Amino acid sequence: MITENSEPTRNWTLTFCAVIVTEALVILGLWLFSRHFSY
Amino acid sequence: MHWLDWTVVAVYLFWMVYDGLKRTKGSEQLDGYLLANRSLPWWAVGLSVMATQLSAITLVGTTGQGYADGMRFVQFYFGLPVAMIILSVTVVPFFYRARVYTAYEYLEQRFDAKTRLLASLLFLISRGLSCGVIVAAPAVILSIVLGWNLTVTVLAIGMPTAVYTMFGGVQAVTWTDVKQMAVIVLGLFAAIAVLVLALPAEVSVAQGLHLAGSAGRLRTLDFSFTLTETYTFWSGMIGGLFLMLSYFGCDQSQVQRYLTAKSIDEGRGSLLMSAFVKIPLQALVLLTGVLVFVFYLFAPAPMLFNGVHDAELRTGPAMTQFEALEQEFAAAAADRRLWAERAAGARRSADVVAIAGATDRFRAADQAVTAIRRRAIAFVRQTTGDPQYNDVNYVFPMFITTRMPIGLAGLMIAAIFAAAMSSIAAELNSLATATVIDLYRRHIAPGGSDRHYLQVSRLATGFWGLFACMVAVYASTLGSLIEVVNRFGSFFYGSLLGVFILAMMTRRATGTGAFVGLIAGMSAVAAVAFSRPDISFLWHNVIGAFVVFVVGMTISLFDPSGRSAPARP
Repeated sequence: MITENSEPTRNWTLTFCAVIVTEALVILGLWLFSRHFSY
Repeated sequence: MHWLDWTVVAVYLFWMVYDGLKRTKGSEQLDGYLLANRSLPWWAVGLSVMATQLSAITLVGTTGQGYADGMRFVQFYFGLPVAMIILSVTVVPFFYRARVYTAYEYLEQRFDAKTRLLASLLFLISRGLSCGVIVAAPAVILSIVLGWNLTVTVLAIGMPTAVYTMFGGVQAVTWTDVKQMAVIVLGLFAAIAVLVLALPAEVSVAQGLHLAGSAGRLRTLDFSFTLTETYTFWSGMIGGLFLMLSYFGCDQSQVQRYLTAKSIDEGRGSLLMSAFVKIPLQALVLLTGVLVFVFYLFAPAPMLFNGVHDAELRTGPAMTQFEALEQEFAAAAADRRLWAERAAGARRSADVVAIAGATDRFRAADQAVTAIRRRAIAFVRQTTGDPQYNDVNYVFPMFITTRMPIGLAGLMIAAIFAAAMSSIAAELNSLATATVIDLYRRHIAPGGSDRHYLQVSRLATGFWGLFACMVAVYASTLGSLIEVVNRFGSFFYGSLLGVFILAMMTRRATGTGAFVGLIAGMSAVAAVAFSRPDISFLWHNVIGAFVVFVVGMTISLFDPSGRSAPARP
């Protein structure tokens, strides 16, 4: 339950999306790396 | 090691103490000493958050794990980015607006004094002991690899850290963490460069990685859903998420890092730095271990990486058996090298049939080497009376001291010191904060002056430094104590997360509900841990948080003192 803001903060939605996309890309990259060198 | 390497290590230690002590000036008030007057930039706090999490045993143990088991350990961190987003939205603004010094102080604002006291005491016991283990683990390894006395090694790691943390406070911790993180990353890149350059001229990095891949060392993702396997995609995503929420959201050693940030936005930025960087960094550490594996395919590999056990067995009553095992190992390693060279050669010629044939033979030869090493480790455990012996932890330090070029070996040893000291400093600082704010100022001597609490904070830091060194010397002789400490931590983590979920996410939860829920959660985790030891510890956090929430809410519903709304910081 987030309470009202007493200090203005910037909008972080885009950054949060960027974190999720980056993680997905890193995991995909690790999978491709592993697949490429394991065969 | 060469004198030049010792000089690098000595310069590093001197630099850290000097840099830490320089910060004494900004720490003349309690707020400056414990929270840096909430003035630090996000990038410094972010590096400090990462340095605190990356202990020496993570650096040394993870590279060893990459060598022996491959890269699948990286899945352990998959829950971290999501955890950082959740914490950025929840605890960062909550703690910041509540103007607290400790996470547990917030629990009194929301619930009552007894819940705060219990949470803080659990933190002090668990972190106080684990701080000793964090000193002990690298000290045992370095004392064997460097040939130092154990107590001297413990003091070499613990004392400089305690000195600069005691005088410089949180500013010293943060700014030395920034430099320590740079030393660690520089050391890792130096090790990778050495490993790549040390490959035989006719073997390329890609061919080396193909060998590691065919030996299963690059297997990264495991999508099986099983509670008994620690490192799977799902245990990392779900169990890891709860562990990271507990660690970064409820453990004072991390909470105190982002409480020093200039603003809520800067605090959020510091956590999101880890969200972006942690998994790639951990993959890099594991890849270093994999490259050590590739290196030893073409260079004579020791059967055991712990020189002391090796020497003991070579001259002890089990000498004949050990030598027979070693001869078997040498033959198997030579066979593996032969097939590694042939497999690499087949890849150069791009002959598909030859690649498949040589790779199969190489894989079989590697399995034979691994099986002999497993027997050798079991032999060590049986004959030396050290049932916890883990050879994996000695792989990287042994490589550094015997194979790294002069100067770079010193840099890498300094990086291990840096990893240890950055974690210890943050823990000493947070232990002192919880001792003074949650115990001393709240229960023992309320109403004292700022200067008085500052002096007590310094003394508390010194006390915890000495305590950690004493536990380290004692713990290193008792392998099982280390396990007890780690287990205790896992009982407490998820349950504490449950209390913070009750505090921040519900209006109805009461102090009594949270207090009883915390005890119930810890008891449930203990029951699961002892009755089903095969269930991975990552799931303990999920169980603990769930039980606390359910029990806490149930009791709160029947608690007449129920409050209608959470405190608004």
